[in-house]
Amino acid sequence: MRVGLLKGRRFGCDAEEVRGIGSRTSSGEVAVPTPIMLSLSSKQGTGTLLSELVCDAFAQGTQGLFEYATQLPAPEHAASLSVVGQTWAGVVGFTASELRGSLVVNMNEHMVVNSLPAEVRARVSSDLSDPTLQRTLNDWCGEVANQIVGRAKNRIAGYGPLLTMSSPISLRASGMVWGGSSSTHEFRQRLEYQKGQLLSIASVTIERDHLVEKIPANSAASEGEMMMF
Amino acid sequence: MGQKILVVDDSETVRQQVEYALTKADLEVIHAEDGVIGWEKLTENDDIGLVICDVNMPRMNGLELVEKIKQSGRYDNLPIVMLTTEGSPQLIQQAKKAGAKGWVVKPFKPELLVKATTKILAKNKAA
Repeated sequence: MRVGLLKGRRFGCDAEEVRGIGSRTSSGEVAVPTPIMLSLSSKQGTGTLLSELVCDAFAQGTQGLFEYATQLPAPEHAASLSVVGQTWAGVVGFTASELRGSLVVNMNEHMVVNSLPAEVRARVSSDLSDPTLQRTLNDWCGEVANQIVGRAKNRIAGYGPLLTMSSPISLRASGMVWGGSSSTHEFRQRLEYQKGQLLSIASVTIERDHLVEKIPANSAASEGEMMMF
Repeated sequence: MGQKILVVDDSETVRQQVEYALTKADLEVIHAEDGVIGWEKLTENDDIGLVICDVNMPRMNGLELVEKIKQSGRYDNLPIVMLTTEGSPQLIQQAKKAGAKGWVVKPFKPELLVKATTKILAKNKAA
């Protein structure tokens, strides 16, 4: 098993750095998974390149959401960058003083169904043509993109830039193809599970890439955290 | 059926997820898809015991709704819990200052939300 993370056009982080939540050996046995870890290139005290931070935030945001929220098993081998069959896409735009961009999360229909919250999934129709189910999938696909950008936003905010997010939109179509954009950085991550596939594309324009340092006072609460006042 | 909870979130799936969790705990749930409808539902139902509210929503966001509720002077004892992807300390402080009683970051564990909700309701009832 492995996560397919490909280096995009002019992208600032090396795909090899995020490789590996385990890999399938030539004999077909599954190697022991290791936690996904993106090693930011800079050393302590010298800061982190903003582009690398953004890459890391979206990589971990996508991977983390599907592990935490859906409790789906680790991804299977990702052989290509397409998502086949009837697919959905959730899109969220974001902007900050130093960067702007969008996230597209393209999933096949089974992936959207399988990523639904368990309480909701247990109650939806198994008939994919059911209009109520289609409405739920439309809503959830946008919410997934929203939650991934939210996770990335919280991570990036710890270094200063504060993203403002758009409301999510959802699309449904067969054979969606995602071409290049005019952004300065593009990050594509494809995860393939037994029951579905997803492709996450973050297209980001960074006006001036530079080193940023963690600001402890800006550390955001993490997902699932609950605070009572 | 127990106390009535108003869930305000622009995602129908999230509203359903919250509803399924809370109804298991014998709580009644009504929905609103943004702050404007949330305010309307609140004023139409005088028996709402707690509000669970997203932050980023169209028309009126969750923090604006909290401020509107608290500034109205009619709901001083109504507890409000924010349920959002946002985790910034500045926004959390803003919500606390406006009168929110809690902050939960999405994705959430339904059982934790139920625990927090029932605890706040019990505390409010005892006060």
